[in-house]
This record gives sequence, C-alpha cells and structure tokens, in this order.
Amino acid sequence: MTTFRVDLDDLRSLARTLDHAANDLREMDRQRGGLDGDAGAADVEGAVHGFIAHWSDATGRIARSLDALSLVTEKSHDAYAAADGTVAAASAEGGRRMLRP
Amino acid sequence: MTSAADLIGERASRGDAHAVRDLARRMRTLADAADGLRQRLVPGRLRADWSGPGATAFLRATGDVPHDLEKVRASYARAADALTRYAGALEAAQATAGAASQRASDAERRASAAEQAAGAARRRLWAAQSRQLNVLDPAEQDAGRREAARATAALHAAQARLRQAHDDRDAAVRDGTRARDELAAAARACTRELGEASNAGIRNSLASWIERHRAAIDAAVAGASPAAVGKTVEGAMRELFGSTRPRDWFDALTRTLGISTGVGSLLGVVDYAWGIRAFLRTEEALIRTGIGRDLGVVGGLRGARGAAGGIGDYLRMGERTLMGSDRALANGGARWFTRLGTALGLADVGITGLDAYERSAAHDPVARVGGAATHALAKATVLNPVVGLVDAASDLFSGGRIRPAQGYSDLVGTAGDLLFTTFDPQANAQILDEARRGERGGIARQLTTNGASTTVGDWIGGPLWEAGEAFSTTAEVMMHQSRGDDAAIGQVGAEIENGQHGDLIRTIVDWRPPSWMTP
Repeated sequence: MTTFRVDLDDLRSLARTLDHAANDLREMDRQRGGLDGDAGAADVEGAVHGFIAHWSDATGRIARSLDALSLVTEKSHDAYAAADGTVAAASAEGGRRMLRP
Repeated sequence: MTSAADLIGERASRGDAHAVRDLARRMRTLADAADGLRQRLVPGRLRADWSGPGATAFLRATGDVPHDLEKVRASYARAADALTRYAGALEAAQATAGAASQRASDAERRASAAEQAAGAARRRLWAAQSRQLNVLDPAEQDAGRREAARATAALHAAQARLRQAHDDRDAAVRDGTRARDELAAAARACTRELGEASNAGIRNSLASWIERHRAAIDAAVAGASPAAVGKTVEGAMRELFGSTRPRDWFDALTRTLGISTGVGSLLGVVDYAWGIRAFLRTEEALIRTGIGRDLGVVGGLRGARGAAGGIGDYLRMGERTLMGSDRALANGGARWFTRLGTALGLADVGITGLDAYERSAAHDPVARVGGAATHALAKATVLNPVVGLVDAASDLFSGGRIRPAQGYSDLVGTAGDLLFTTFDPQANAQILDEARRGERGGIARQLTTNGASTTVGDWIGGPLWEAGEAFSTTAEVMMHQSRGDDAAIGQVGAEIENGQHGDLIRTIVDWRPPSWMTP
C-alpha cells in the first residue's frame, strides 16, 4: 500500500528556500562589475569579473532548475493541502450521515 | 609631499577594502545558502519530511542540482576566502602607506627646513669669512672668526638634520615600497585563487556549451556562410569566456586546463578518450556502410589501415602537444593551447562539414562509399580530416613520402593563426605568404597555392571539399582496382587530369619525388 508522509509547512518552506536560492544566484550574476575600480588592483577586478562570468552560465542553469523545483514543490504543497482538505470535508460529511438516525 | 598613492600606486590607494569584503560576504552567503539547500535536497533528509511517490518523483527531478550546488558552494567559498584575505592585505597596505606617507612628508618638511637653515648658516659663514678678510682691526677679525665658527657649527647641525630627514624619508619610502610589493603579491595570490575557483564554472559552462554550439555550428555550416560560422564561434566564445578577445580565452583555457590540472593532462586525457571513441565509431561506420563489401577484402584492410594510421598520427600529435605544453608554459605562452583549442573547433566544423558532404552524396553509390570512408577516417584522425586523406592518398600515389603528422601540425597551426588574424589583413597576408613559401609545411603550401583565400570559411570549406573529392576519387580507383577494371581506372585518371575531381588530387597525382630523393 502506498504511504504518504508530508510536512506541509516544511514543503512550503522548501519551496521558498528554492525560490530564494534561485534569486540569490541571479543576484550574484548581476554583481559581475561590482568591484570595478574598488579592488585596488586591475588583476583582482578582472579575476572577479572572470569568476562570475565563468559561473554565469552554470548559475543560470541551476537557477532555472531551482525555479522549476520551486514550482513543483509549491504545487505539491497545494495539491497535498487540497487533498487533505477534501479528505477532511468528506470525513466530516460521512460522520454527520452516520450520526443521523 | 609624498602621498600614499606615490608609495603604493594610485589604484591601490583608492581601493575600497570594505567593498571587497562586502562582495566576499555576499559570496560566502551564497555558498552557505547553496550548502544549506543541498543538504535539504539530500534524499534521506528530504524523506524524513516528505515521502511517497510524489517525493520520489521530486527527488528524481532534482537530478544533478545537489551536485551542482556543491560545486557552487566550493567555488564561491574559495572565492570568498581569497577576497577576504586580499581585503585584509589591501587594508594593511593602505594603512602602512598612509603612515609612511605621513612620515615621509614630515621628513620632507624637516629636510626643507634643514636646507633653509643650512643655506642661512652658509650665508652667515660667507659673511663672517668676508668680514675677517676685509677688516684690519684684530678685534674685528677675532669677532669674525668667532662668528664663522658659530656659522660653521650651525651649518653642520643643519646638515646633520638634513641627513636625518633624508634617512627618515628613505625609511618611510622603503616601508611604502614593501607595502606595495606585499599588496601586489596578495593580488597575485587572490587572482590565482579566483582563477582556480572559476574552473568548475568553466567546465560546467563548457559541458552545456558544447551541446548548444554543436547545433549552431551545424546550422552555420549547412548555410555555407563563413560569416555565420565566424559569428557563431564568436558568440559561443563570448558566452563561454565572457569575452570576445582570444587572449582572454587562452588565458582562461590555460589557467583552467593547463596550469591547474598539471600541464594539460586533462586535455590529454579527454582528447585521447575522444580519439578512442572516434576510432570505435570508425569501425562501426565501416561496418554500417558496408565498405568492406563494396571494396572487397583489400579495400577493407586499407580502410582499417588508414584509420589505424590516423589514430597513430593523432596519438603522436597528442604526445607532442603535451610535451609542447610544458615548453609553452615554461615560456609563459599558451601557443599550443591556442592551437589545440583551434584544432578542436576546426575538427568540429570539419566533421560536421563532412557529415553534410556525406548526406549530399547519398544518392551516388561511389561517392557514398567515398563519403562514408572519408567520414570514418576523419573521425579516426579526429583533429584534422585532411591529414587522414592526404595520408591515404600519399600511400597510394607517392610511396608515403608525405609526412602527415608534421603536415597536420603545421596546417592546424596555420589555420589557427589565420583564424585569429582574420581582422588583421597585414598579419593574415604574412601568414599566407609564409604558407605559400612552404615555411608552414607541405600541406599548407599545397592548399594555399591551390586557391585558398584569406577567409576562414575558405580555409575550412575549400580544403574539406578538395579533401573529400580526393578521397572519394581514391576510393573509386581502389574499387576499380579490386575488380581489375583498368578501363575504368583509365577513365578516372583522365577525369583527374581534366580537373574534374578537384585540384588536390590532381596535384598529388602529378607530384613526383625530386631527383635527390630517388636512389
């Protein structure tokens, strides 16, 4: 028999974490020129630029994956919550019928 | 007055250690977030909160994300550490330079005052000496002597203060210079660490880029537009390395694939693996296209020998490339990496072009066999289809006197040089002149004197067509040979002489060894 165990709060928290992480990755990509003129050495500024540029493609893909996972998690949460509500409503309805003479 | 900028440089003195630390902090935060998320996506941990078919499907959907997050964590944490250390060095250098600047300025003020005092003492001394010489009264002469002695003492004192001030200034400048050197060393270390931390990013980019770029190159080659090929390559390079400057690509490649992995060992391993894979595919291609059936046992053996020869050439080339990498790196250059990178790109384009050639020849049985064999041999030699073709042709027509491996090396190097001087007509023309004079090997000379122009497209497309034609003609002759059909061989020979099979095969057939080479 199939078993389910779902912590709805934790599932929603995971969706938010995934969403935040995707945004953090995108935000870091926007920092590419963030040290221009501030590092005190052109080599270091170039290396920072290179580091973020080299990671840009990978972080972009990871961010898109996280977006997709976040959406799946959010929808899963909603579906489990709805199912739980449906079961609760059905049980209440069944209980009322059983109590009637 | 000596400023901090004079001591450690204008840029370093304006550097903002807080901004560096802030970026390091954000990188650290991202690394921690990636780590936290990775731990939440670990199957065991996730199943504690969520289990069932949905959770299993979700875990499957996460795919490589936890692995990628770990790479993000490791790289960003390392970059954050490097920047944090550098920020400390920047701050220390600026503080040292600031204090040294104050000490130097103070010493310069004292030196200036001492110089003025010395000047005044010197003038007093001259006046006293003059007075001594110009008066006759012994009392006045005595007063002059005493004044001269006082002025001399004052002069010596001022000179001592001046020396001390100069010493103090020199010491301050030395401190500033030391701070500048230490900061430069910290910047180099930081740059190196950031470069090493970038490696995983480059490799991740490379993996996805290769997939996407293959389709783009296919499309560009199918359109037979050199401009489209160039644009595609440029776009892909910009996407991959964040720059369109070849120097940046080589820097990144050298740093990533060369120094950090032990002088190109990764390149070697990958390329050898690619060669083996290509060889296996060659066998598959030979069987699939039925080349053995069409050409008979002799043809099959010759094809296998050609493929093995191609692999052998490639392995020898690989060894030379690795050895060359040591020398190139020792000389501070990346010439071999440049050439290898170019060769990889050209090989990709070349193989794709041969694919197109094979498809176009699909309705002609002879050309189909030739195209399939060309394709197979091209894949076997991997880096340069032309060499494999010339190798096979030279076996047949010139007794193997053309040296493919050397010719290949020169040709790829020349193609790479031409590619990267596309926008420098003068340099481009010089390379072609060298090729025509034979200074860049026999194959490059043959191709250049047979109408290759300065465009990359001609270098890629023209020789490939010539080579494909040469090989299919060779295959056709071999087929007729295996059937003993001399009339057909004579017919093909006449067509070759008429130029119907391209210039390359005609040149090879016409070639005769010079007298000094014959016994």
